[in-house]
Amino acid sequence: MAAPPSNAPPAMRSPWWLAAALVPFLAAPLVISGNYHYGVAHQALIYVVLATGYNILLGFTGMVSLGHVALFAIGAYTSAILQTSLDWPFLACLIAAAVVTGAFGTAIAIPALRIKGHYLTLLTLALGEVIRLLIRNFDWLTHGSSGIGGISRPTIFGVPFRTAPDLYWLLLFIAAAGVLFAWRLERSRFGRAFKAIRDSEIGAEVIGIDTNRMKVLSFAISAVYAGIAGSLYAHTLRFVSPEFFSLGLTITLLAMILIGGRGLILGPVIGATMLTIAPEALRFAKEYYLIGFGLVIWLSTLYLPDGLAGSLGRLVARLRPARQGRAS
Amino acid sequence: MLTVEGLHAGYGELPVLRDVSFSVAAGRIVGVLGANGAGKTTLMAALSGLIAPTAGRVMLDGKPVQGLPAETIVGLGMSHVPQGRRIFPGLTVRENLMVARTKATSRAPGGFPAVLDTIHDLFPRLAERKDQLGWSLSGGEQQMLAVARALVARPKVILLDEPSLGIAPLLVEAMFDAIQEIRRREGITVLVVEQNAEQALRISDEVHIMELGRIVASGDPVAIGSDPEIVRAYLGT
Repeated sequence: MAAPPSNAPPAMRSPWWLAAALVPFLAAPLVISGNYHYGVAHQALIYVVLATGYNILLGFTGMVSLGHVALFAIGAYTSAILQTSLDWPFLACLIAAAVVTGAFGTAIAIPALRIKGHYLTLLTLALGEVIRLLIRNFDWLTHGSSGIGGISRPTIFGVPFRTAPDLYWLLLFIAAAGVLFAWRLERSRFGRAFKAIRDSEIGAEVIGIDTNRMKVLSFAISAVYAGIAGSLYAHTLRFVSPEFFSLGLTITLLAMILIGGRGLILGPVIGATMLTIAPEALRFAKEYYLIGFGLVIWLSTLYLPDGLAGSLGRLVARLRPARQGRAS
Repeated sequence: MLTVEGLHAGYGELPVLRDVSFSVAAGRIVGVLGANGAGKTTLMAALSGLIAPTAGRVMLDGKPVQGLPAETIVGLGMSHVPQGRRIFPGLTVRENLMVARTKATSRAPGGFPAVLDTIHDLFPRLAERKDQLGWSLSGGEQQMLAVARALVARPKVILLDEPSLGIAPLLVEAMFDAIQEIRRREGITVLVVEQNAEQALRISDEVHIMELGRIVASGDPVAIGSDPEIVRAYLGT
């Protein structure tokens, strides 16, 4: 099922928005300190990468896959296994995770060409669970449900990123590069073709878009993001286990996109950051925070159909009525 | 330019088109008329590659194209403006046109900018609205955009499926005038499917009447329009 079109005002497409979004991330180390705060910030950046890639599939191309967390897991395990058993350096692990996950993403895309809408969603949900069960049961490779520990923090060409602030800057650099690539992709012929498929698959076919090729490409690109995010997760948390990559995480990832703003570049950035920080900030409420979480999802689908990023853009457009049109 | 011989097509087990044959000479406007369910839209889909014909031949400029995927047929010079317009609501007007660029667009003299100029000449409304998102256009403007989008691939043949459907009556005539203008300026061959018999008869050089997946009458629009039997049986006016 094609997602309904984003109707965010064109004002949101200016590159200044990207620069503005970077500011709080650059300023964050001024206010945060201690391993706990940095740990939350690290996770937020990793989810920015994961959600930005997921948005390419869900927000641009309009394909609702619920197997994305399995790709994240494949990236994390690829990196964890190569590092702990073969002692590969971080950068090699990262690239291998991106390649292996990209290949899995492409393989998932092939059945996706034949089925559409809810059937595709169900198929990806099943594939995701199969992958998670395989990870749990391949003891010899993955240590089953006890997981893989002792993964080391990144070192790139002899430069260590072991301390929390150093790792923060590395993750921020990768996340910013990922967001920038997505921004550039949106403006390319591929980005436009993805959105054309989302808005009308028949329309895309009759104007000569090879819809099959574009769908596979979209799956592959978003899988590469998931692989990179997975690798970063493994080297940041230094421990991976199958329980972490559960259906609950799939729902959280979906919520990051929906609350942040589907199909908008800044949507997953805002969504991932908020949904990583909010549960931590609401720790005092114990499990009751889930009530608040559910209410926010419910209210945002009612009142923020294009998410926080879209509403923000709309607000700015209203404040600047004279500049509503996009200079092209 | 376009020759259809013994074409059969349908959806799964359900046959819709039965042995449809006709041809369209270069630079002509040919209308296909008929009631709902006559198979007009299926005919268009089978010609443009949205569905694969089960039998028969479709020759475009002397080359067989039946069974080829839609994107290949667009590349060979036949563009389809589908029923219901199918524009991209989440893209701006300009992006709707940009996404339709093909090799033929860049090979044309002046490339995409020249094509864009032609389109803005034909449909000045689209120039005014170039930075608006597709969903914000009126039905008539969306139809203009759908036709314009098909022109971006520099087609030799354009297939128009119900261009008058769901647009304001005042704009219907303007739309058909634009179709004639496209033929006059670009020399494009037009095959137009319509329920609005009056407009289709006005602009066509030749018309075919379809019923139950077959062509049941063909000829000059004046002769068809003045034949009381045909008008009563098929055109319902």
